[in-house]
Amino acid sequence: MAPLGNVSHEEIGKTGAFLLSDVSSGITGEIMHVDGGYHAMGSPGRLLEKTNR
Amino acid sequence: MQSEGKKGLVLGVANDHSIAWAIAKQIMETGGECGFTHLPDRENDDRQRNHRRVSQLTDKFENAKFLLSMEAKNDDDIRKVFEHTGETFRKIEFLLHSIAFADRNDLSRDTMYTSRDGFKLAMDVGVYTLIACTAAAKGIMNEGGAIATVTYFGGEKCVPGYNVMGICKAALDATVRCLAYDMGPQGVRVNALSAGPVRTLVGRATGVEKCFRFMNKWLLWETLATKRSARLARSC
Repeated sequence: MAPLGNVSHEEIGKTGAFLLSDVSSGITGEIMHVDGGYHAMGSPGRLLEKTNR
Repeated sequence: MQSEGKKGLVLGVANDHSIAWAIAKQIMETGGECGFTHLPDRENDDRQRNHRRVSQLTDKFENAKFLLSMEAKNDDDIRKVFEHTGETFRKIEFLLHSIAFADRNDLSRDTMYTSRDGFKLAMDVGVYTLIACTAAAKGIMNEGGAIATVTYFGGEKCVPGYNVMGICKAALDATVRCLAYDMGPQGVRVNALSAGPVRTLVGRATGVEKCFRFMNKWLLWETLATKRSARLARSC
């Protein structure tokens, strides 16, 4: 479903550490998705193609 | 290193699958120092399981500076934790809020049957605590510091099974924007991390596990079907 598939704990950890570090100094009030792109989808995508085959 | 010399508080580690732990580990491995809280144990419970589960993790890290019990519904507890944080670190650069709760009964039936008490409880623990902790942190937070909370897609679109938690996450997202405005003049940022489905305690209660099982079953079916068609192709 998600363009990148499932995300790992480490990937979530890295983004969290990023948001809490100076590297993200210009970012506030933001909802940052670490979901492999799931939130960008409006359809099951390739999953659908596979079931219809 | 990105977190070198940074000190802060991490609220909401329950076990090694917790998102808060994934983030705290990353921070400590890149030079940051963390203070932790855990869910309170019953005083007469000899096993002190909530404490033990978290201390097993934090004991292995030199940069884990303290571990306190905190009942998120209790303002006194929050005040004590932030006082202790101030005494230990003097000033902090980050605060991670990864706390939520919902009654299991409210997650296992349709959203429209959510109980009034369950709604209040979920909102109190999942949303109000961010407001309370931001206010408590204001005095000990350095300029350029950052606050982060953990949200979920179920607050933007309907994710069946996430129910009242989705309503809370929508409120949490709005809270993040308001608090970002409040803390802006102090140079403190407030953001939310919306994690995709991973296996956690909440995930197990809200159907993520079911979703994984479905995907696995589907993948299994897919593999079997491919094998079958390959066999058919060979026999033709």
